[in-house]
Amino acid sequence: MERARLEELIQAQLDGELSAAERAELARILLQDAGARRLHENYARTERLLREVPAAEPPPGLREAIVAGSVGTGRRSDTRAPRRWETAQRIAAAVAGGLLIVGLAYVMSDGHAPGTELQGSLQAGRGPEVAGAEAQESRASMQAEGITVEALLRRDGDRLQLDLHSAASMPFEVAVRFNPSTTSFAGHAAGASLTTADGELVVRLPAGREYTTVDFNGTAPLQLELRAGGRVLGTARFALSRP
Amino acid sequence: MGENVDAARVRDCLAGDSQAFAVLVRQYEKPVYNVALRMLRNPEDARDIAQSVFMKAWQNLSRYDPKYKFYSWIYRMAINESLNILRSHGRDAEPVDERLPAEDAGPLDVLAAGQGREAVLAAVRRLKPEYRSVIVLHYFVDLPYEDIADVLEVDAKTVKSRLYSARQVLKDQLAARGVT
Repeated sequence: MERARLEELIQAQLDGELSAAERAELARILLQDAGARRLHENYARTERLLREVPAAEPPPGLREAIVAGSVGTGRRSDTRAPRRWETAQRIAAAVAGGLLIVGLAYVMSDGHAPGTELQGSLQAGRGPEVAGAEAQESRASMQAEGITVEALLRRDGDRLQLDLHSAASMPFEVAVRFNPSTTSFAGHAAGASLTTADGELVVRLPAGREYTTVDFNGTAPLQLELRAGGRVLGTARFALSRP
Repeated sequence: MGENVDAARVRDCLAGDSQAFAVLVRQYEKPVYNVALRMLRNPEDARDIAQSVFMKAWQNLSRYDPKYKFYSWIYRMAINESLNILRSHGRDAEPVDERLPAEDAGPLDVLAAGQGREAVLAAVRRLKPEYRSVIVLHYFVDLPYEDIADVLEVDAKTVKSRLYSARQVLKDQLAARGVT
């Protein structure tokens, strides 16, 4: 067996790109050749170690510093010079801008406003109003069998953003149910693993600490179902009022 | 974010909705920080790069081309800034965030200390920057080949070839240290 061919097969396996014939070829080689098995195990162990490296949490305050340094300055290279008739607007904007920064710092501190959170239930309420936007928030905190999910649903007009923060000892799923006649899936975080079907979107999350976001267009309400190992561990319903 | 959602947020930013940019920061702060941290293994540099990337993104939003993914654009900035720091140091930045196994540590030392993860991060740090970039983007930010190709501005075949070589080097390094 040529070593280069063996490595090619192993690496294709790591990428999930083996054809059925190649799978059979690799299986036959591994069965017959102890050296091939060692090499295969070395690659598999390296792959496992790489996959097990957890994402590092950014230092506290980084997000706020970024926002203050960008949005807070109000400067962009494409910002045109203001016209005279905009002076009054600028004064109003300066006042609103101050409120905006306070509001953003509030929202960015993990998007949590102080308030009561009931385990396995949801609390609805108006979130911080930002620059006059009619933003609303509803949140949920669910815990079961070593899985904690903090969910925050924000609405701004017809746009709904669902944030999921989780800490879990095993992989699990969050099924998001919605009325497909009034609400539609609009996008998701890079790298998120999910499937959609009529009126249901399932977000698969691994063990460890995770954060992901899913966007919808529509009117809500959305219902959440926490699942693991093929079992439903809990359900909850957001209670945003309709716009 | 999916590219359409991100592009819509950039449009909102350009129309004056600052909160839309704050949402983008919240969404991508962690992966951008992780790209820089895993390239350099220095939290201070990673923090600086994350701030710098978002500042540049904010200042140049009008130059963002919605044909491409927003995250490709900002990850590219994070990779390029990391490479600049590596170049400015003349070689790899010295790691300060993780204790590395001593060069002469034997396999039992490494295993006994439970340092498989440390060892793999140390091995990643020893990779050439072009190999390290693909490993970081593939394993630590979970990008597929096509997106890595966009970030690095090379073709997907080159990404695949670099990933192939990088895995070989990592596997050999870890085997030499008794980790695999």
